Amino acid sequence: MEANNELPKEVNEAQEELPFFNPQIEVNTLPKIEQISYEKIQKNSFYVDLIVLVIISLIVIIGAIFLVLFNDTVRQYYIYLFSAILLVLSFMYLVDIKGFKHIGFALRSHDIIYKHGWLWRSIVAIPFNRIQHIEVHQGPIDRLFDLSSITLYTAGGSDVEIEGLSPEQAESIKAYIMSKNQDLQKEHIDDESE
Amino acid sequence: MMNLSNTFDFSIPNRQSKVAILLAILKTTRIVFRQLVFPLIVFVFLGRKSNNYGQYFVYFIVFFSIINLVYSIVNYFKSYFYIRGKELIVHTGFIAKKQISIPFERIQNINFEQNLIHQIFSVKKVKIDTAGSADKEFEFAAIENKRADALRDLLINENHKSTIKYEQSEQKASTHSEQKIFSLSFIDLLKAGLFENHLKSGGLIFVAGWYLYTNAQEVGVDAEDYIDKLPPFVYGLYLIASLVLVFVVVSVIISMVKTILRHYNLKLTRIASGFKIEQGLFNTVTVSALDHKIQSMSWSDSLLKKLIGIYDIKLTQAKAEHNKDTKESIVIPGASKSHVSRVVSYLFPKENIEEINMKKIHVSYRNRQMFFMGILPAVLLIVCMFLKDWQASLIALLFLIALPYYVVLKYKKIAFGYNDELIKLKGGAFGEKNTITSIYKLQAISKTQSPFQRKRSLATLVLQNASGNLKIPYIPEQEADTIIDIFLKKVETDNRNWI
Repeated sequence: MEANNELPKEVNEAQEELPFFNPQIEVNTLPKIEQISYEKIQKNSFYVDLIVLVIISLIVIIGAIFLVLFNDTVRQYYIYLFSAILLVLSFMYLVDIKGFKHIGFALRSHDIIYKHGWLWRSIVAIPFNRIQHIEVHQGPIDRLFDLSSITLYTAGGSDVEIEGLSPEQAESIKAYIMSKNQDLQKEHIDDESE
Repeated sequence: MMNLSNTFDFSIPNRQSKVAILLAILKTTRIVFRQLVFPLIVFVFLGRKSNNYGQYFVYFIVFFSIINLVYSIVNYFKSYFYIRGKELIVHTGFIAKKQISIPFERIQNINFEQNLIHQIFSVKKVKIDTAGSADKEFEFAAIENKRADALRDLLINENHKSTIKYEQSEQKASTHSEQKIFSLSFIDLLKAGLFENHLKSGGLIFVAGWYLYTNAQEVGVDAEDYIDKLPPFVYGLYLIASLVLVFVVVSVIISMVKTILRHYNLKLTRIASGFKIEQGLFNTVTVSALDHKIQSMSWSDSLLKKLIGIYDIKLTQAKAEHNKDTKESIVIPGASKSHVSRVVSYLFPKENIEEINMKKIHVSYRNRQMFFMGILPAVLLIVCMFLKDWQASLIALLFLIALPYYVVLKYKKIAFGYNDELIKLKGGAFGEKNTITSIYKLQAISKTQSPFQRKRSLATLVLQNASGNLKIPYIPEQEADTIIDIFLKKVETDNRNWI
């Protein structure tokens, strides 16, 4: 290695000499996030969620019935127990049914936006050039209903998972993002060659 | 600084220092000791009462430790590293042979650590941090000081060259231009330790005391017995007062000792487009962080620190994948205001952070928080008064005043602002915390809304970068949307290296 005895006065000059463009942004001309029309996820996914919820409710109710039958102290308060269970379960159904309408995603040319939540709503936007890894996943129940989910990983830690897509949808989203992100393409080639 | 890279030839296989063997022996001894110390105590106290299983346990541990030791020693002679092309290659293992090749551009950091043994034998523990998968991270237990420095110079230099190429700059910077930014004297550290947040150390004492108490019972010392034997009047105010005094004194001492052990001889240096920090008394640690890897900078004071005008500076780095600890952050306690501005001017040379226009968040943040913080003590107060427990009522009343007051203080401090390049957040309650991060380093932006916020057209903005989340609560929804639009555009059009 060559010895570099010429000390730069200030190391940051390296950055200083870059061609620097800093055009002013007209905020009104930017694409607006509130004007996005979101795509819905598959109706099947709603049924899957409902089925899972029904199974959970059955287990809880049967468990409660057994408790009431075999435990004397619980039997005294069975009205409270069942009304509490009913309250919680009906809330869960409500959240599930209402919430489904609020799940949506939108692909733009530089980012993906995912929204969900009925009472507590949230919207996440991930730029394609920050996505490090994409995973398409299909569980056993998903397979029965012809569904897939896609998970987008960033270095930010909280990763976004979009459930209830058709397998074709999931694959095409993945392909689209890959085509927009050169780093992912490189990694893909690396994977293939390994 | 002399260029050491020429003195050592890394193209031929290099081996670690022989001190690595000594370290392996010590490590094994320590493991054996740690595993055996409690069985031994139990054995001494309970004598013959314990059964024979304990003995087998001891043999078992000793046996496996010896096997482990032999493995480490043979492994030492079978491990070597060299540089081929643009890769660092490490061979290790003799039963399951393993070859790791680390491309230079993947190397994030080369960090050093020296404990007492390392210092005696002039060697360093060298940790190589890489971007991406954890199986490519590597650690050398002991490499001679000069060889380690040369290796670091070589790797960082190569890495830096490729970064510069990425940024298409003609300037050739070199790691040999090191500039001291500042160092902290023993007195500075004493001050920092004295004005440390003592609640943390207090918690440590509590845990240690509780641990001793429960373990004492295990080995047959019945602590409760002693307490019962104490005369009842000792339980009065004197006991509480003296306990508080002891607590405060011990916490202060622990904080000071901890600060000095960890940060002794702290020296922050500017290296090529990055920072290097050296510190530690018995365990000297060197951590370096390149500018583009630093995700955010924050400085904060507390009620105590504000009195003497010192700040804690923190530079966070991207967490490696699968490795969720934030050990890699650079933390500097007891820095002065001018130290802070010097670090800022190195990290963001073109920006004037004082000019960023800071905005307040919506006042309903304060009102809602006061409401939620007040609810529990209010209920407690009513219940206690109903039960005519006046002492408990007083405590509940104190909480009913203190918690909302805390919220008011917090609300007063919260502010946010941004310009074309940076986001600046202010927060804190008794002290003040400032955080700066570059917009282009954001990984994802999200907006959340509770039913209440929706009614008032407010939203909470969460900005994620590779070292954590930054939250801006309760701002007008319209403004949140605009910020998302602006920040997304910035992230999507900026090609600078962000990790």
